[in-house]
Amino acid sequence: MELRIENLTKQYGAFIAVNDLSAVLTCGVYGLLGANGAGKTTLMRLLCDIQSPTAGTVSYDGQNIREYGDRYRNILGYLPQDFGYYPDFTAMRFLLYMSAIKGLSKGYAKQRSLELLDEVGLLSAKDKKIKTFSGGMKQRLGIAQAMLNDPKVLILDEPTAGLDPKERVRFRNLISSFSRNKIVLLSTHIVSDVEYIAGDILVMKKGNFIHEGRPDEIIHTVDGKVWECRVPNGEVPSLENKHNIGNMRTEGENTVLRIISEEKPLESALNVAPNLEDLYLYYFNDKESV
Amino acid sequence: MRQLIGFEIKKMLRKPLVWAALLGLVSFVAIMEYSWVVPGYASIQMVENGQKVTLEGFDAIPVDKEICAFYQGPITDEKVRTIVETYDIPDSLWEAGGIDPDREYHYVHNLLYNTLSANGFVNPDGSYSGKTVEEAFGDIAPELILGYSTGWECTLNALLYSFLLWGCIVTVIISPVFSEEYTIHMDALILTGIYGRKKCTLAKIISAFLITMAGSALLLGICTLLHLTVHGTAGWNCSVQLGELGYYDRIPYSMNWLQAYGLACIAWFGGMLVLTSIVLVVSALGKSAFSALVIAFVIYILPMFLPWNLLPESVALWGYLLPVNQMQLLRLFEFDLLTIGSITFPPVYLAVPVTVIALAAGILWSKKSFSQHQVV
Repeated sequence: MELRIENLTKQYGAFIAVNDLSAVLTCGVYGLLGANGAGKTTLMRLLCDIQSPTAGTVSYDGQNIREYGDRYRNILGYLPQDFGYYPDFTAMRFLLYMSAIKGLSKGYAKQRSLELLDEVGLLSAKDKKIKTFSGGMKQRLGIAQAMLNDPKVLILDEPTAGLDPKERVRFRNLISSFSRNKIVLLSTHIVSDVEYIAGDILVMKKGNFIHEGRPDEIIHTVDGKVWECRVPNGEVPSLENKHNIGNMRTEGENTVLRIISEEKPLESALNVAPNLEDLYLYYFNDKESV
Repeated sequence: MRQLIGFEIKKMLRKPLVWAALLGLVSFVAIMEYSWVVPGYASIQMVENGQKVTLEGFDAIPVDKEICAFYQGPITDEKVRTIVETYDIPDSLWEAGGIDPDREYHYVHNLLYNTLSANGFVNPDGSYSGKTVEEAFGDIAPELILGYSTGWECTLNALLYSFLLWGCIVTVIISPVFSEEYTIHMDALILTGIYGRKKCTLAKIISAFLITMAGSALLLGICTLLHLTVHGTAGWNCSVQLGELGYYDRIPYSMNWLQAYGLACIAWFGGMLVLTSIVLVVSALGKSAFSALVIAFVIYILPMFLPWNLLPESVALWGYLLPVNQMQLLRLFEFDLLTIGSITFPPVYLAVPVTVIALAAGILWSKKSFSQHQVV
């Protein structure tokens, strides 16, 4: 099972959203990390064949997904960023509707919908209208609909956006439990979402992949660039202007700063082991565009 | 497929706006039927035992029918004169009621007398004007049949206005079929399902046509049933040019009420099918449900206000075949018979090929637009 992206480009007028991307995805969870506007959503839409590429191809097991057509959609599960729903549908009715679109038989659709509602913790709310759901409940319903046809390729676009930390953890675990024997591509700009569940990470910036690899591998690309130092509180504003600051922790009169910098920012700064969040801040600091 | 069609129909109908619109339609049809057909404005004034008697509503209908039955048949100068003289009400009786007898032709007598006065056979004082049938109707005069027409004429008018409103409601119901999916971002989910691009799209199209046709059939069925209950089939073979209200007196070829009803059905159903096709295309191409609704509504209504009569006849004819004009009947009915080779036919028949072409184009275009829609 292989999803191959070859020289994929999507251009809107003069703006290049996805720029000549190539990658090969096999079984496992892939985290697609990038700031807002980096081209993650466009890439995912191209992978779902709901946008046409300007150039390049996406192929599944050697066949172009555009030619694979309905057979590709039969093994595809997708949760878009702006997940739409019919407010007056109940959760159960919505899943039955999506089952009909995914070609599930009526009897199996009912059984599968109940199973998934149970797995995402919405069984007790199955007869409630979606308009009464919280953001987290809607997202869980979204993952349930994406899983209806037991897809081989699961594409989740910012699935944790708008969720509180508890719901995010629950959501991550849910995706982990669904991910066996699947290609799962999960886009996010929240580092912790992919840190725990992604086997591989694709870092995207301005339509390009700037890094690909296992989390521990790509974290090494910022080795020696993460520093910690303790400074008086009064010096923090000037340091903020000069450096890319990560976490800050106030301890009485002083503040402990985590600084991402090519060079040692202060004499007292100590080099520390980087994590994925540092990597994100290194590549997507506020002073740069996406 | 049946399951998808069921879902789509429910999606279209389960909206407060749609229910409000349907409720409005039901109220409108009820008002139309009450004021035109059940019993409508049926009214007779006649002389009985030296007194002027007025009958209204359900009481007037059988008497009117009885008078019409007596004179039913080809209209002749002699028949015209007899009717006018027989049902002329003496001046003294008008004066007794405080009415100016010199304006007698303005007042209600009975269906036949009113028809004749509307066509210039009666002087203001109620006497026969001496006008001949040929002078009034020209070449088609020998083909015209006099008889009971009120039921048919009023039913056609009530149906006409009801269909025009039903057209508006169809735009409200159908314009969101595709466009709403874009608005609420369901397009991405639908288009990534195995049946999303073909069966689901087709289910949406079929559902739209089912709703339109079912609604049209229901409207036609109910109004026809009410007509038959109240007025019966009387006058079906009489000429539309001799209707009491004079709506159809300028049709330049012979046509009876049953033919008019049949042609009207072609025009209404054809118009509704073309309208549905147009709305589906607008919905598939629309950016949002609201813009699709506005555009579809304008496309439906605007041709009604355009000055088609200023255009050359060959161009105007195509304008008359647009849904809103076609469903109003008159412009199309009043157009001269068309001739292709040795075949002469009423222009309404053009609605059939126009509908077939519009249906095919609408289905293919909307299906293609939605299935190839680029999700944004």
